[in-house]
Amino acid sequence: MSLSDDDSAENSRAGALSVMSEVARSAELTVEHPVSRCFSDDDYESIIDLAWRCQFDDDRATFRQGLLDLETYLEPRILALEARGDE
Amino acid sequence: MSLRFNSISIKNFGPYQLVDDLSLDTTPSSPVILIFGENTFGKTSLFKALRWCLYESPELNLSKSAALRSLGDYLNRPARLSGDRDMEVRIEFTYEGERYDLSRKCQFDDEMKPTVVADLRVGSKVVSSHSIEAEIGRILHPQISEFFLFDGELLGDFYDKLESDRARELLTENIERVLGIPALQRAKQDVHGLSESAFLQYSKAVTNEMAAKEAGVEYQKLKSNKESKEKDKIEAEASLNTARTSLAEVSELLFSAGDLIADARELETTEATYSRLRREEADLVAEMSSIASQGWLAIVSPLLAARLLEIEAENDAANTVQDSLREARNRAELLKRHLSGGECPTCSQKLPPPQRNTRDQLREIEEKIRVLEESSGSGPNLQTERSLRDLIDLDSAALYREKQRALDILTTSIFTAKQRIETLSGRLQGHSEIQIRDLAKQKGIFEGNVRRFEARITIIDGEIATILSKQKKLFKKLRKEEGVPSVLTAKRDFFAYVDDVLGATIDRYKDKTREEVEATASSMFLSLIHDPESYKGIRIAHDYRLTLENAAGEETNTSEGGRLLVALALIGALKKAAVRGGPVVLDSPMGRLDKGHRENLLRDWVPTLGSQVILLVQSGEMTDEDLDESLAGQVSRMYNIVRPSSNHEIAEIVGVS
Repeated sequence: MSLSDDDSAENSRAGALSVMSEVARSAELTVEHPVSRCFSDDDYESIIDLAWRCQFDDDRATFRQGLLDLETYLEPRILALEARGDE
Repeated sequence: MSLRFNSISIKNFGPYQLVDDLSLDTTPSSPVILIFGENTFGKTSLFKALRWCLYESPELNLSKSAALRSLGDYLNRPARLSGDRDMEVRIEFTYEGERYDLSRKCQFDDEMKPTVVADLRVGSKVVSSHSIEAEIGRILHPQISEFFLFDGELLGDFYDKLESDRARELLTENIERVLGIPALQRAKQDVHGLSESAFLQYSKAVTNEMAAKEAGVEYQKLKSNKESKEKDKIEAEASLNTARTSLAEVSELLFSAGDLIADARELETTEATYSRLRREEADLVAEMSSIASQGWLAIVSPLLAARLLEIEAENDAANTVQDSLREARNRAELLKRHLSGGECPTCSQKLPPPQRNTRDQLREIEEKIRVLEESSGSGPNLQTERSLRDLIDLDSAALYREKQRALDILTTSIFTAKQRIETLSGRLQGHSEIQIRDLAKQKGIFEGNVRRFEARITIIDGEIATILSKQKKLFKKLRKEEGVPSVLTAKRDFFAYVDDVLGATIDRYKDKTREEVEATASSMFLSLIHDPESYKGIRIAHDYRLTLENAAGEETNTSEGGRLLVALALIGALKKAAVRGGPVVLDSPMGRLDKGHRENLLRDWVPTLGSQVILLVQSGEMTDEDLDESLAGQVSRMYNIVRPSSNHEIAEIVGVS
């Protein structure tokens, strides 16, 4: 979900998302955090969307709740990863 | 939808007595509004009205108190003279699909003391007056507005700003705000908090009691230490803000005091000059009095001089007759000797025998002598001439005239000095040198405080970074512990990862954005200038130090016009990269550019500015050709600022079809 349909906001949000996807693929993070394998592009987009939607207006409680919801959503994948003993 | 202005209404602001609902609506395909106005007609006043309504201050970087003090300058003078002392600006705008109605009114009392009231409605909801500033800041932060509402005349300053470390730091903060970095930073803070909680839950569940206990105690210690440091940082930041505000206020007072100090010095000098001039005046008057008493005849000297002139003329004429007589007598004597066969009276040589007409010549000359003797009278009256000369005191009169001229000059200087003293005394009334010195002292203290708090914050940041690193090590150490419920491990790993990924994203995003801004600004700059082959582009360092590079990649200087283009290119690049866009309002952006640069700006730069661009221009800045060629089809509305009468203090805005 995007904060607004303003072109510049969209550019900036997309820019931040593109950077997050890029750093998430870096060896430094993937080696240190095997859990990164459970994240898809949509999940990074959700994090950026949450930040854009809530943090500009300082709505930190909504942001934290959104992130907890994302963790709950990803938990089965992370547990499955752990169960496979990949970690 | 982002912020978009719908209309503006103005009452008694600057030259505008009444502007009722001026539509600023644009369409995406025609985003430009042109408002034409000649110099001094009121373009900048319109710009300032907009800024005042939004941010309480008609000018950028003016403190609230200074802005309030300046408001009297903006009240329409004819309205004020007629007793109407109410000033108001109202802007209707749309933001995120909601309709906003913001008005700011200022009433002046009999002593021109202003009282300002603001009113903001979102749809039918009234926003509390205490929340208006925050609400407007949320929509278009005043610091961000610096990039989007700007005065072309100040573009040179924009470039110069980047020369100072403090200004660059502020600019970097603003740029990061424009780009949304603080939102990501707040997100990271929150994720870090969640990560800490998840880790503590996890450590409590670790079955290896010893390890869990050690890790729990250590982690709690680090957490508490970090919280304490963060608290210190918040306090230091608050103190820094207070010190900066105080410094700004004292600097502003000192700026005015700087004028006062100069006034005081000038007053001292002018008073000394005045005293000296008065002494010289007294001396001159005394001298003139003495000349008048000693040379009293000087008073009648003009009459005597006239008579002397007559006598001199008479005597000159008598002398001429005497000369002619003498010459005639000599001639007669020569002719007589000629007839009597005598010698020449001059050379004593024997004269030749007389000619036939010698006797006739003698008769003629004797007749001339008779006539001359009759007309010569008693000869020149040299005695009268000498007496008159003695009577006329030419020296005293000349001296008196000279002194009178000096006195006239002196009187003018005394009058000017006295006027200046009155002006300066008026300005200095109520201020003392001690007060001014105190202000300078306070400024030094606040500057010291700002430096101290900045250094303190840097130290705290370092300490927090060290704690975070220790937390991370502890996290790794406990990672492999067995027997912890999987859900807690999952939470711990999830938040630790998101925390790190956000941190890496912020660092990379800052760098990437800077690189993008640099690339866009460079490309815009090269498209605006006439000689792109002479430059490689604009380089932006990590601290946003701006340099211009020549074709060989070496740092180079540019002209005043080049600096304007660099500033415009940077503004365009920031606008392109910005998170929360909005209208761009430019007051005289092309005033200092030549035709070619203007065309480049209209064709390549204006279209990059987004969906609402309001250009306040004078006729010289934009021609019909520019309109037809460079802005073809992009203009939604055009207005003219006109003077309905010969009164230059009243202007109106009328639509152009």
